[in-house]
Amino acid sequence: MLRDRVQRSLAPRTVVALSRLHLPRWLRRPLRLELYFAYDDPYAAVALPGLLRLAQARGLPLDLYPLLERGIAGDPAAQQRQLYSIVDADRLLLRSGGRLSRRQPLASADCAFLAAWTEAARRKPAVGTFAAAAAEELWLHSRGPVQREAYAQLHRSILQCEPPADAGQLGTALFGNSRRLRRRGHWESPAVRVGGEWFFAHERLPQIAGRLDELRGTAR
Amino acid sequence: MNAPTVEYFFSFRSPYSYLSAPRVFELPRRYGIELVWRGVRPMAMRGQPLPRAKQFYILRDAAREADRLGLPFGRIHDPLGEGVWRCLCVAEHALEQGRLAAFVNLTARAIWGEGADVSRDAPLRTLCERAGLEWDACRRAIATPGYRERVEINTAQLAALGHWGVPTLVFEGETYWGQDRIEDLERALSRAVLPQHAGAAS
Repeated sequence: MLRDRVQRSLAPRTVVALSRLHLPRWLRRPLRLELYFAYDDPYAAVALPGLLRLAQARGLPLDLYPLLERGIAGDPAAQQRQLYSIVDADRLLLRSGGRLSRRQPLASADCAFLAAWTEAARRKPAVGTFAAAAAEELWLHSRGPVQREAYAQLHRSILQCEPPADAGQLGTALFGNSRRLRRRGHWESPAVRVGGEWFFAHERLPQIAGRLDELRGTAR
Repeated sequence: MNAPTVEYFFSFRSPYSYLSAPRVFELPRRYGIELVWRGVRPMAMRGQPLPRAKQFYILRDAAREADRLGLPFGRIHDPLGEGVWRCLCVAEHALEQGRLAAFVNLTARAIWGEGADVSRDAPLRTLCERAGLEWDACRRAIATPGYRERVEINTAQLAALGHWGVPTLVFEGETYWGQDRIEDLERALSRAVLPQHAGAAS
């Protein structure tokens, strides 16, 4: 009886109540955005450019954590979700006049080199610009097999250097990103953490902007 | 000419279904469509995995969205199990009585925002009567196997569409999943809207 009451009522009410509590400003850590995303996820092409604009407009750091592994283990709807995400991402882009060019799902392995290049460039100031441009090239401006050279050119022009020759060495770091995502309480791409709070970045950009302004004390 | 139809897959255990209901039940008036009700069993009663991280995210995100939409949220009583079945059966009866929107809006709000335990008679009776339904008829509905069969058919239809979550809306063969995708459906409805509703929809 007590256990039933806790599960049905007390636990969910507590989760919601705690989510509405916000630390006073003097107790908060410096504000930064942590984005966990996968290049094989079409929602990344919505989230990355949008978040980059939000972060740049506010002078905030955007830390990128590219993923090779994501989702719920044993999810029977995984394939359906993957197919639907293409239709849905296209509709989200359409709201601002964009369209997806790619209509077939990508495998994580198809774009693993992009995740590795992003991980390798983690400390470069222009890594966000590169990741956003690569995600848009992948989903908005190309179709068919992923042409590595097109992304190498982006790498050269934005990051001003050659992409790493042996990206395979970065596998451990990429799996570490997935572990970090789960340890911090999320499971899927594109997830952004703002002041300890999670948002699905592709569908909550206005809410994220609002929360950033609230946390910075500039909300109107 | 028959009105175009929009199918509405809904679960009383889904907070996002609750958040969608007031706007979805306005669609027939705004666009001249016929709304086809499809009450379904919750994901947790369909073998879909729901890890704790996802449960927490859904509650926190639904709370933010409810605040944005001006809907009460947080005094929750999870109806999983018999509570869900009772609501689904009464919803089928309410549909026949022309009281579906009132019952669904009131009951979903009571579950997610007012802490109503719909597995008990007293709170459910209050909701039924506020929705304009007779309690004795609702009690009979809860025991009507035909209503449970309808729910099973609806649940199978959602799976046949290749979909897993709710709320899901279907218009002209296209599916729209999520309370925050109603605006995308409305864009499609605006393109297909009947002339006499063009003004109302704008």
